[in-house]
Amino acid sequence: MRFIGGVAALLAALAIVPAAAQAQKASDNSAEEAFKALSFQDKLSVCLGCHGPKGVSDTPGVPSLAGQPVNFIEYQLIFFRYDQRKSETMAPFAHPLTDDDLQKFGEYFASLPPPPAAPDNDPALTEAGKELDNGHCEICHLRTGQGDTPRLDGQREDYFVKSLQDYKNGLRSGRGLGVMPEVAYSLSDAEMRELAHYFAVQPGH
Amino acid sequence: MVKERSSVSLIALAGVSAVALAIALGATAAQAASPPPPTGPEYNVQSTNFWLHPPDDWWRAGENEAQKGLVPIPGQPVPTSLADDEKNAAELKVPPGFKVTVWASGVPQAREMAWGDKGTLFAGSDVSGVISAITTDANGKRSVKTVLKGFMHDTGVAFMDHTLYVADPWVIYGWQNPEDHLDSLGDLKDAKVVYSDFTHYGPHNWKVLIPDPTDHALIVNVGAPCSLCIPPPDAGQMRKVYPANGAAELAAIGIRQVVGGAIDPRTGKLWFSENGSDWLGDDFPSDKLELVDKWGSNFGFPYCLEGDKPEAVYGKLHPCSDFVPPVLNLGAHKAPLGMMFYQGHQFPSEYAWNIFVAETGSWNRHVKTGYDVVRVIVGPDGKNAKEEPFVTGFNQGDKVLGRPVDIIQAPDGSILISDDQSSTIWQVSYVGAAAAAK
Repeated sequence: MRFIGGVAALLAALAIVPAAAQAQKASDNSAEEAFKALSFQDKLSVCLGCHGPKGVSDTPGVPSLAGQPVNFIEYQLIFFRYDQRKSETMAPFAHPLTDDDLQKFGEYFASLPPPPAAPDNDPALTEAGKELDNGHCEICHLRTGQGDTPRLDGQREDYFVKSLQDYKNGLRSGRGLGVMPEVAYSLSDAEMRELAHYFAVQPGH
Repeated sequence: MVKERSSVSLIALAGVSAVALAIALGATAAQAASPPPPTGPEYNVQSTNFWLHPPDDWWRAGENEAQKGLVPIPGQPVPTSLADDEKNAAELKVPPGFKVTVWASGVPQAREMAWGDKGTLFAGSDVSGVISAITTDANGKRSVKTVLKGFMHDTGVAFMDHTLYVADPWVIYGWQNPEDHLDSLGDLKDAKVVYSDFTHYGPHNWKVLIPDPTDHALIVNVGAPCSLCIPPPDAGQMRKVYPANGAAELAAIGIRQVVGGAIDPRTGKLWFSENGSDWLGDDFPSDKLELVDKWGSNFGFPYCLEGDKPEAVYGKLHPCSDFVPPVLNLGAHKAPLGMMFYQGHQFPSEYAWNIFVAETGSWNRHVKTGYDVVRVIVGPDGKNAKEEPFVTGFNQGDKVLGRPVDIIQAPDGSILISDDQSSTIWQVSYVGAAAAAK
């Protein structure tokens, strides 16, 4: 139930739900209902509360979404909506979304400039990640941010590692071709950190 | 240090496969003197050192420079609107006398379909992870609702013995008499697990369920976890699962990935469509239509492709003569999925017992191919099969109107085609040559 408290606290912090609703003991449905009642702009404010005001996240474990392809955002929201991708944090926000909502979110985040490169405090790690990548990732993850696959440049390192772990552990399955689980199975924890660091310090195109 | 570890590659699971290779080799050392493959370097597979450090090019069919940029063509996250579906229906081409209409719209990523006992059509999804139920009221009005959710990739759906079966990548679930309580099928975590003896892996883990009503069994695929490799011993096969007691036996082996099939009611024999390897070229190898004349037959993957072409590397281990050839090579990258035997009376008599195959289309070919429904004319013995296009026009070159996935016969003898791109179920009816000409 930890996440529901988190959702209620977040909505309260953003002062977009009445005090009475805050006082009420939140349940799955009430959190969803509260979010569903918001305008698109207010829903967006809730998203940006964690994903960063410009879609560039300062929150540990939360990805930057700025500059991600429309289709990628839409697919992930559909996955969260139907619990295909299971996330206690995202579920109450995604469950009430209509197809129209998630198309608007996709267009909004795709329109933001991609995240800047993180400062490189470990060039040796960058070099190791570059050798490991060896140009393979960008065959599908186009550096210009198109198609169904996410842009990798400038993504938070901690989130990048979490994503690969989730694929490796069967918590995410991707879009059906099974490419990401196949890639992630072969990676050690150290290799995931190398790739994460290498991409985090790359500027978005 | 860098040299010793592999870079990120589409060929993964190397460790697992190496074990399988060693097993396969041990079992087949006597047959290793097969005809030389058409191309490829020589390999000394008899040497122990070979298996400790197989050469880099032993692992087959990774992406390469020539194919760079052939990423999956973008999908379509949200359904096509009903208005656009109806416009698109007019773009689809069928033989004279047939017409295409929209049977249901907004069925999330509709995949395999199955009729319930009481007239509900159930449809699995691609990665939306939902089961849709389409019901028709007394006035003929159809409604679509999500009755189950939270699956990972629920492509497999079957209805048999009053039970709805759904296959997620590593679990087959069952719901008895679901039409009696469609709105309360409950949470997935409480659902009855019918069978779950599957190794967990990512590639080709999605399933098809083919009911075998005579034996009260479900045929399920266990795809090879790769595009081209010698798969682990418990993959690259189809199994016959008995829901009554959870037992299973091998139905067919030596397959890559199967997402469609049917039992021929005349013979009780299993037919299936098989998707060939990627990354070997735009026109090779062909996808196949196959007939399991004897349960447990071996169809040749990965040693023999297209029924008569030894694979350039693995072909050294077994000759093609060890395997059952296909009924028909359907063409490379067509991606045949669902198939059915036409048993209705609405279509002209020459369509009786024809097989319709949904070809969902290529994802990484330079020029798109497939995206059609084809008609295969063949007898129950599988001899002298030939094919003709039946529904075309989804592939418009620069855009794709839809991707056919599964085909099922409707009670009136028309056929329904699911489409996981537009989230639509299309209907093809025969209206007669005279009506069509008007």
